[in-house]
Amino acid sequence: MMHNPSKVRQKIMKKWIMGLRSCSSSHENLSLSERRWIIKLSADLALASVRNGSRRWSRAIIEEASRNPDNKGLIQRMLGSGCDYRSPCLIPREGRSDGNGAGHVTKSMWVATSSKKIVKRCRRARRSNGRAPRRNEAASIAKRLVKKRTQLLKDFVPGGQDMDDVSLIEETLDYIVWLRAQVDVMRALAHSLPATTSI
Amino acid sequence: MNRTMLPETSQCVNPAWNHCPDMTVLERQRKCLLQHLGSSLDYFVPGFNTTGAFSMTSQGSIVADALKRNNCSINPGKLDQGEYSAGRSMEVPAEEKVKASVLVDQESSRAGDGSLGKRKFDILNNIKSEDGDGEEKMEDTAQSNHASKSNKEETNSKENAKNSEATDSHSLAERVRREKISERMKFLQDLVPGCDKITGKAGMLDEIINYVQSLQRQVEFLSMKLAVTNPWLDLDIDTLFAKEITPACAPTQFPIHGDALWLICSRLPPF
Repeated sequence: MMHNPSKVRQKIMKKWIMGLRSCSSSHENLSLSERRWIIKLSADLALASVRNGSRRWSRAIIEEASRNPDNKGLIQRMLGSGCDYRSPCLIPREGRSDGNGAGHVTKSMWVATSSKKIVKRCRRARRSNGRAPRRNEAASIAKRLVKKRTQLLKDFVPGGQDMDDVSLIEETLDYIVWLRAQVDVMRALAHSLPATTSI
Repeated sequence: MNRTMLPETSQCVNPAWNHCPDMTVLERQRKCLLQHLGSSLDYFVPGFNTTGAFSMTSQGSIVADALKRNNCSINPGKLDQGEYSAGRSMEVPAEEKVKASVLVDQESSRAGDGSLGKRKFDILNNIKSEDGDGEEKMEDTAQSNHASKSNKEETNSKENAKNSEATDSHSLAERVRREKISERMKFLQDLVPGCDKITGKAGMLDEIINYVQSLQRQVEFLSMKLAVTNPWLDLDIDTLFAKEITPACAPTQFPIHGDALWLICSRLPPF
């Protein structure tokens, strides 16, 4: 998953600092929340770009960030104007001016999700025919719990909404490892810099 | 898959084995099968790439495909020789292949970059255990090899196998999916601290969600901390970059890493 953790962290650190530098020159007086936003965003983008878009969550981070038009400058500076990390179905078509690059869903995706819903409904109808014996109640409760938590996990992992269970767990695995690297990098920088506090 | 990939079939007709009266036809067949499978498992080497992101599903499918191909290729060669019964080729049901692929997944995940030999051994063991189930059928069909009846039985058994496969494929797919999920959950158990004692899926997912949430909160907290302590965002990085450009310092003073940025960070006390 991560061949050389220290090298990976160095890359993240470099990209992150380069992003911050590009921001500090353009904006002189920023509020605290704006500074915090820029720091977090550049750290997330650095992580996603080092991951190189080979994972859904890394592409999702960039896509979510590019939905906000204020972030476009930073994204372009950090990732280049080419921005190959966006998945093909989410690249906005020409002529769209709403700025919401990730809004539309392709027809095949819609068909897939709607057919999945139909299948689920049929299964539910079959099950609720009264055939289920008592011993399956515990199993169904457990299933419901697992489903709830899976849905929660999908909310936390970027890009996790349209995934099946197996790929969701794989994405989570990968995401946790790289997120830990990001936390290490940020913590290292936060501790190493001299504190010049001004409130 | 062409026959050239398989070892010489004549090797199977081992003169030593013919002299050994204790070895039944069954055992000879089994040894041949294992021998051939063992050699053709070398085909799997390119698939066992455990570097980079997880590709367990692709590995599993590579193994399953190769096994399928392998069985098909054994079939024509062995029928000519009369070594393998017609039924034998059908007695490698989807279950076996699936189990083998799952086992391979497990092995590759456990071993990481470990030896391929161990995996081969386990796959062969798995297939050996499956042999016991189809033994009776094998004996029956082995005897009718040379007769033309074998062809009819072939088609019958083919149909039976296909029917059972069709009805079982759904449940098999479910089983495979569940096993994949449980495997990945085991990894997550190792990754997420405090998950060792939890066995249920729901509890584990709880812990995973909590962990991801806590990591994301740490990121937010640290970005807030940096924003507070460094109002101008310049971060005094010019000096850091300057150090990076200069050649590496004396090794006694700093650790082996060449990158000055990380040097600074690595001198911090461990967290």
